[in-house]
Amino acid sequence: MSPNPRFRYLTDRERVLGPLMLAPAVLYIIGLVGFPFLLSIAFSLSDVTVGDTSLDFVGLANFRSVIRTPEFRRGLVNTVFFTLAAQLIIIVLANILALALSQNFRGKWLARTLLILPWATPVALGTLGWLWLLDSKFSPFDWVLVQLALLGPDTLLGPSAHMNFLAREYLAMASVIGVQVWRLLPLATVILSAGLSSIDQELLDQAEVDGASFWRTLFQVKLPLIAPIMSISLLFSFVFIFTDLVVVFVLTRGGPVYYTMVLPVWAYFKGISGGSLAEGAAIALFLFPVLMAAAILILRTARRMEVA
Amino acid sequence: MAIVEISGLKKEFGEVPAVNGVDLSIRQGELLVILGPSGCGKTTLMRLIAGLEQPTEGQISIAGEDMTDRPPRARGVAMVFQSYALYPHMTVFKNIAFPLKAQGRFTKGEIEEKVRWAAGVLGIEKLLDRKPRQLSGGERQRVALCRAMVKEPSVLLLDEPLSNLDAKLRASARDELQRFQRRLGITTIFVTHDQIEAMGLGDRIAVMLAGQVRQIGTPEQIYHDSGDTFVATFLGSPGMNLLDRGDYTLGFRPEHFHPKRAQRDSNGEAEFSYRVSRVENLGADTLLYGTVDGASEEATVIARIPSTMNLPVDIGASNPFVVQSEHLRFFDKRTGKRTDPRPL
Amino acid sequence: MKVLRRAGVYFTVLPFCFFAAAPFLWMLITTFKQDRDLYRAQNNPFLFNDPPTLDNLRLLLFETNYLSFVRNSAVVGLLVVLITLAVALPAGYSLARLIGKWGERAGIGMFLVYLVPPTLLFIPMFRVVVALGLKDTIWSLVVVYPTISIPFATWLLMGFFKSIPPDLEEAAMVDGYSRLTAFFKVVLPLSISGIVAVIVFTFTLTLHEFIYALTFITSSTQRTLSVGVPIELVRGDVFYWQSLMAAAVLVAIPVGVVYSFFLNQLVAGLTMGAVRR
Repeated sequence: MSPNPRFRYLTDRERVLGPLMLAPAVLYIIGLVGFPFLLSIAFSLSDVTVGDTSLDFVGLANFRSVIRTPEFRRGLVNTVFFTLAAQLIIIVLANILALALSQNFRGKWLARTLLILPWATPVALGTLGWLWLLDSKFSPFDWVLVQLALLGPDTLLGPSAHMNFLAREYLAMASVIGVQVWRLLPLATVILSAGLSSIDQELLDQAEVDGASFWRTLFQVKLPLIAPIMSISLLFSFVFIFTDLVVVFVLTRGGPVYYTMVLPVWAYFKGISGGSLAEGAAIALFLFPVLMAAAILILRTARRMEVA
Repeated sequence: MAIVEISGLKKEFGEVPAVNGVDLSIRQGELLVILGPSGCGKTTLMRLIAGLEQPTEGQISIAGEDMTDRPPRARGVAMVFQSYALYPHMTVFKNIAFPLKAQGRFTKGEIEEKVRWAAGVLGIEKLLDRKPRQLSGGERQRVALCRAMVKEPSVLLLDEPLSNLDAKLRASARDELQRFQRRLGITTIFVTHDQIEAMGLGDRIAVMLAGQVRQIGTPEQIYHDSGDTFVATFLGSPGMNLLDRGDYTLGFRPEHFHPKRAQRDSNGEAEFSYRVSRVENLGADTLLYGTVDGASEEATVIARIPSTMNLPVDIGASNPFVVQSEHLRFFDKRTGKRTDPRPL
Repeated sequence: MKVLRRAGVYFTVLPFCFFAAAPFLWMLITTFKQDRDLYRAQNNPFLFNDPPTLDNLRLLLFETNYLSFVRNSAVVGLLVVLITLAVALPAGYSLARLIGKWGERAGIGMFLVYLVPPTLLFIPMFRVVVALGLKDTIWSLVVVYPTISIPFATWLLMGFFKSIPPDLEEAAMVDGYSRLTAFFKVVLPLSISGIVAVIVFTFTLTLHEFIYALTFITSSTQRTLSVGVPIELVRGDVFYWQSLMAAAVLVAIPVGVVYSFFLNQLVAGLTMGAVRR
């Protein structure tokens, strides 16, 4: 007697199979993202600390208190500024690099391997490398500048023989932006390369026969066609920089003073080092609305540019 | 007067010669069709003329100037690809204006004027603000043609532009295309694998195989005076019947293969004993499939009988069929080339 | 003209290569420098003014828990990749083929979940990890990292599966396979580049991740590379620079070489998954 036909064809019943295949992912996300997210909100509205684990409701008190500190204010400004600045530089450089890499040339494999190294090493370790590169006493940059007579007594860049990159406000900020660009450029380039290689060759042939010069083809054909993928790349770098804790943590700890502070680092300092989980959660939650807004904006623009 | 002169053209991709020694002279205002099966090199030849590929050997000159080393935009050619290659992110107007802008020597007003004129010729004025994805296949083709002609090229290159249209549309598109070409008088080179299209459109047809031109002539010439067995079997639907006759090959076309009783003038005819195995009634014609006694059993011989002709034929039995002598063709067994008639 | 273009390409690419790789070259040199060579500001940092030494490497490999860190990162990486694939492949397929209209919306929803960052969740997540009894073990990471990788992987694979014509699975089903079997036998073999893309991204994620690893794990032997190296090798105010540099380079070079082999697949996977929708 054959088994109940209802079960035998279960793997064909798409009404069942569909949700079944989707279930693990959904459960995982609800359980380990949704729940903690709600918990995060709960924390921010309570007085919980590392010591006192009871959740007493305090309303918006945490939000009010964290906004007042200069570290927070500077952190908010920096988080946005670093992200936008690094983003801009990355998108321009990645475009140039992806275009160059779309050509075939000898040694391309070697070039690609070298270019991907910053992405291949953990952010923390790469940043440590830069920490030493920018050291206040032993930086190789200092040494080179001294050799070129641009640094040291009676030179352009000042009497000190050290640039002190990480101890000077604007140089420190530039260093943070620089390291973000360094570590994310490979990824952005890979994504844009994917976009470029997906352009129909016939369109490019047509442009050639139509008489378009290199620059015209670039700006009027290639770039508009990779605009959707560029927005995906933008979204990734935006998220990666906006929510990043590592680079600032390792490079400057938010210093000098709090001039390179960013919200994720401040949340860590307040929440874990400082023990005030509730305030830490409140600070971190400020990231959320901006992130969502940026994501929706970028996705919507990408949608509108869909050409197929 | 020849507007495109190609001599000794060769193009090798690594070891493989895609174009293997082609000489062509294309006259001003003519519509030349390059016909051949896939892989024969016709698209490569077209790309060489356009300047998208560089030849390994040989020369190309257009309008009297040697263009062999020049990039596409310096050749005064326009090209329409099989997919039409319309820029998807631009409106129809911008698509058509693109080659004019690229030339850089027209004002905005001049460009607008030219685009509207060209759109008028092709009847697409109403589509100028639309995007390619909003157009039908036929409309896209017209936009592609419009973009090609707006810069008034010396030569128009068309790479299988009708293959993407459905069958019914193809016939009317073919008609439109020919009238368009005649009206403007642009020298046009049209590449296709469809021999009906070729016969219908071309002033002359160049038949290609394996990188070489096998024969070039008017449709009548290549059909009735096929230069070799390849051309003879490639053209015609179905193609020429070929029989192995020991030291030569005999050929005759299905429409010339009739039952004996339908004879009109016995100005010399060859008689065959034809065993019919299958009949296809196509409406206007009937096709008979069978074998000829005395020839190899594998060689299917096809007869095309118009419906106007009376046809009492016994399937399975041998029937006497004839071909008029003037319709017999003789080919060299080894080279496949056309030879003089032999006694049967 | 071609020569000019070729030169232009080299002229463009070389500075980028320098920018990307020169720090590593310099880190490699630093690894073998003696203390008294390194800690003299006048010394040329790019040359060995005193003979090179293996002491720093020795310190890293044998006097710290570096090898444990490598092992931990490798194990976590492998397990998270497997979990991610096991969950995201069916989920992506389901969204691409089986759920229909609001499949597209759910896909975007997935992508948006990806945007909820660890920096927002790490505090409550720490509580969850403690409650599950996984504090201070690598299992805490094995369980939590997929929350970051699954949404992205699902979104990418969904796009990827959508770009495969349904005819092939339909032919398989007519031939006698169930939808599920058709998925395994027909769709998966065609999705290699998508799977490669997911593997590379997920592995990168687990390798780089810092904040969860910092928060959940405190014993040195349980730490991953990303956190273990900075914490171990910075004792108070003393930085063991040469060993730190060695740690970075030792990871970067093999991983970089492996990635570059799969770069073509990665690009293809991204193209199908993210570009052609």
